[in-house]
Amino acid sequence: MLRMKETIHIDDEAAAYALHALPDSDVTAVEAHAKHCPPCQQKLNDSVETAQLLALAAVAQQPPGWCKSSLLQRIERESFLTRPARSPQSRTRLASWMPMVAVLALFSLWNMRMQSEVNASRAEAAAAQRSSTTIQATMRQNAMTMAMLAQSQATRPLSAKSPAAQGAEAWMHMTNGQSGGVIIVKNLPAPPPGKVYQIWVAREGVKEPCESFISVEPMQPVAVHAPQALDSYKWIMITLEDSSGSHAQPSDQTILFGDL
Amino acid sequence: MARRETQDRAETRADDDQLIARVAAGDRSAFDALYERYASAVFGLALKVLREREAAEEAVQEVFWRVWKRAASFDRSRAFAPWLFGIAHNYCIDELRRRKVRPQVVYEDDEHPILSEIPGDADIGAEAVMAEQRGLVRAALDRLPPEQREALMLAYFSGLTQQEIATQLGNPLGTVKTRMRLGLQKLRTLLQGHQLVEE
Repeated sequence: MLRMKETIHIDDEAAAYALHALPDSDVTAVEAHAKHCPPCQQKLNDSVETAQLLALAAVAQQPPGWCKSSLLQRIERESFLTRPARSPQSRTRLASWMPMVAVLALFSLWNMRMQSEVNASRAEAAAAQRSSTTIQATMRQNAMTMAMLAQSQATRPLSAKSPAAQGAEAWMHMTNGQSGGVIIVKNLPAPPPGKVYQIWVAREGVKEPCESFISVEPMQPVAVHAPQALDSYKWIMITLEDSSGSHAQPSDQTILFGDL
Repeated sequence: MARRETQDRAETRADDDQLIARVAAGDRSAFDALYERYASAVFGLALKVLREREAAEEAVQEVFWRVWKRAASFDRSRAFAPWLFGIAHNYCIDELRRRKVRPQVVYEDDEHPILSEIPGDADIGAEAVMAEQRGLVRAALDRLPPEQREALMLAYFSGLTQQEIATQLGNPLGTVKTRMRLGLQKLRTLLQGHQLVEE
């Protein structure tokens, strides 16, 4: 480790500092010395300025387009989260629950529409009874999903891991000790023909398949039922699988991924 | 010719100054313009240091994210590009050391023609200035004694410390330190001749 006295100036160390070739302990010593030694500070600045231009010796290459869109989404998300609100607490809570609120509103509209369909179908002949039953079953399922959303205690974000999911996001809403939860998937394009999206929960040495789905809405809720409590797993992911596959193991095509 | 190039560089720097000032005020279109201008340079640096496409893609996003977050603290008396490259290099070296990866340095870029480096939808004027600057930096590196150039490249692109370079090359530590210092000094003098760094 360097031991610098006021009478000893940075010489070799300035170049090594600028090139990140000093061990951390020496970096601290060099910075401490330069702070009180203007000539050495100047030498350090000059060396850093020169070294930084070495970046231009690398061959420039265009990054894939999704890097930029993913970055802009991150900025958009951050901007939303830091938008002024009444209080910091309400800002965080609002940001975290906005997707859920949107989905609940969606459900309400959906159920209102369904209810009118049910009323209409009740007035029809017995042949329509089967249709009404199906719609009511969907409503019950929606109501269950709404209940799970309303009761959820924690929200975990999933982020895109594939260019195929460019622009897509998801949030897992879950309750401690419960095996059921709801994923809200946003902007996930429909899978290619013959493929489905498959939800997995995992921890070390364990990967459990849950529901599969085909995204059709810009913001779509998907109920998740895991074999054990969701908070007993470490990760959640959505993969792209053959619709006819056995799905014992996830494919390599991870679309969205998050920590639980 | 050299005067024209210097003028072009001055204009690019003025543009950069304006753009980063607007970014500091939260202007996303200015951020977009800076990204288009410099993303290929940052990605190229990240690829060269990290040697892994996925990691380099992550680096580009993280580096520009830091630019967005730190734009307000940018010292406007200095040029934007070296500041950006400093952020990029810091990130890449930290990432490299975190992974304990030590790829071998490769400094054979001559087989890549400049035209292939120009992205299709980038800011062509600024890209031309960058291409010229790249040529000047490479030419300056070529004029260094090989052992000095090797020391600089191993440190900058492979993230090796002085001690690691000494061990790898089988040279005394003092020799490596001297080569590094003399190499960077000479490089600075050569780049000053082209007004790429301040006198």
